[in-house]
Amino acid sequence: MTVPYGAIVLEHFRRPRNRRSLPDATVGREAYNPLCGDRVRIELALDGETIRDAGFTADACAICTASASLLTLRLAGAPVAGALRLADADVIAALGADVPAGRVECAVLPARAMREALSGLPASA
Amino acid sequence: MKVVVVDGRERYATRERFGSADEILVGMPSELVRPRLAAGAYVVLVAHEYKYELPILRDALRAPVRFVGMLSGRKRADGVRALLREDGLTEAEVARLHAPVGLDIGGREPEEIALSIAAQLIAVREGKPIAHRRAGAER
Repeated sequence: MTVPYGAIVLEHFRRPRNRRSLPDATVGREAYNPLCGDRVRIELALDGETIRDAGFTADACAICTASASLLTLRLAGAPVAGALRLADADVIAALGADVPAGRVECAVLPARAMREALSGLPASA
Repeated sequence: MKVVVVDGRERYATRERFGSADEILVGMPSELVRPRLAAGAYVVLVAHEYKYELPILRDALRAPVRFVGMLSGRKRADGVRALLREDGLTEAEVARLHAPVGLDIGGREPEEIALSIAAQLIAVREGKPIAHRRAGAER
């Protein structure tokens, strides 16, 4: 099985951080990529305007799983406003890989779930 | 035997494609399968997608199900087994995975492969020894 996206993606796919449900989650949202079938759920425990804890569940490809892992590391302890300002380009840059155009949606799916969770938007497909 | 079809992809898990299924479930596959991993259940993974296979196998190979099989060539099956070991599954747990799934009846068409898998499930149900895997699954 080949995961040709570099060391960071490989590390976070094989040893994902925060891959767990949060029993005390304040908000959570599942996002789905109908093109490839990736599914990821981001759960966040809020303490006022701060994200106290972040976790994810995913049946997703390596790049999506790695992106969710990296995102949750970044979110824990971050202000909600800062999380909402996180751009897709930031998420892709964190992967340290040249993400092909056809896989960009995989990479940004966790961030989309996070934004929808924090914004109270309806789930998107 | 009750047949439950699970998929994360809405376009595949349709009543048109699985007219005789007792249930068709679409969502996060690992979460939909987990409560059904009961004693006597047969789990067959045919998505050919490691994104679905690995999360389900982590649970299924540790559950009291009767059978766990995966559609795959031998090389890809070995890759999945290696990742399961990395995830902490024991050799005994990994050894429960039947991959490539299906008896060697010589068929290559989708319907023939499905028949070979159904034949293996019946053989397991009846306690018959399983000596052969599908010959077409060498890659």
